[in-house]
Amino acid sequence: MMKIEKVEELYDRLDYAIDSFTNESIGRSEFNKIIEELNKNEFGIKIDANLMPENRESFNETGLVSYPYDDESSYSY
Amino acid sequence: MLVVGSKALNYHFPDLKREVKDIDIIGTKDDIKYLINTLNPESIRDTENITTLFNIQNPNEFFNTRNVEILNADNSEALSEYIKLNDYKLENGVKYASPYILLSLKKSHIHFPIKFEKHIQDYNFLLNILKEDKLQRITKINFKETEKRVGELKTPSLKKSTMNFFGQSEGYVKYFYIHDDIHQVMSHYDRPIYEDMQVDSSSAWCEKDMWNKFSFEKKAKCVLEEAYVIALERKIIPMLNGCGELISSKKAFDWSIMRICTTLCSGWFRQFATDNYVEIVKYYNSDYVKKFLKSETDGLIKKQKHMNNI
Repeated sequence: MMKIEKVEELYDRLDYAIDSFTNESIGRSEFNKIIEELNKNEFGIKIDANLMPENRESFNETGLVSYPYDDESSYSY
Repeated sequence: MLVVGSKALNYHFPDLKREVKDIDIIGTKDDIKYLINTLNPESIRDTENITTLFNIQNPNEFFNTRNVEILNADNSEALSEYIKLNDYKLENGVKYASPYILLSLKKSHIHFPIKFEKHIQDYNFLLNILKEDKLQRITKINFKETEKRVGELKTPSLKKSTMNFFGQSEGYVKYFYIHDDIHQVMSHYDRPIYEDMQVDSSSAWCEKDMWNKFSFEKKAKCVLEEAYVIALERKIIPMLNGCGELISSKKAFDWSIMRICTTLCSGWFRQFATDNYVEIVKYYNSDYVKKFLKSETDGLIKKQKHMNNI
């Protein structure tokens, strides 16, 4: 397998793990275990599981929607 | 008193089966007083523009949710205009705002990234059925009122870590990529679509007349190219360089297209993206990050070193 294919495969597994955690199909400990496993890769790529935000609610976890808005309200009042 | 939100949407379009978490009302101060007395909420949050009744103690056949939100028409020119239109369906003494009012309300809020995923689906649904916003004048007033209240979006501060997908980190040296190269790699055709909107390639200015000549598919792909580039530059590359939060490729894409529809872009480009969101995302290529990784390995994307001030 070529290097790029291995890197793509590593990315796929990381992407899937992030997606699973975001969709709440796996918990924090399982997520951390997957990352630990991924960190054994041959490229020396180190993934910091702590950079996975705890708050998984859509968009808010990306940290960008930070201006004042009411969490309970559908309206921007 | 006018019923809006998901309760009104469900009334007009029952097949939609929209989940009604709370009931939204446009009302006057007198309506607010009446509803507080009638519904007897456990607690109330009262602001200049909205009154929220929490955990209502006297629910009935209509008010059957825990919470009720009343948008105060006395403090809003746009909301009082919606009431004055007398454009509603009356059933059992309840006035349900017309679909045109619902579309106008959605349109006036849609460029503010608040529960965007939920609102954009409703907005596209209503626009698809009604074809146009007949209440454009009120929509504009409501948009201005919202803008005045909400203010500007803040940008995030990036975090640090040791992760680096593109070779070992050299101290604090990180790699950054040439923007135009990323655009080229994310192109659907032989060059980025936005270039077909430029009279002068040395200027970032895009011509609306040239855009108007594009087919729907080309416009959709143009939005997608922007979305991939933004997702890569703002989310995926910082993550792969170890200085951004972990985020899936799909979430990064959803976030970037939300930003295109809200606060990152403006004018006709944003309007097209917003009006056709549901159709555009159907063209999503889930392998866009892998396409980037392969192009990076193949040397198709030039990178430059950048010294962080850490």
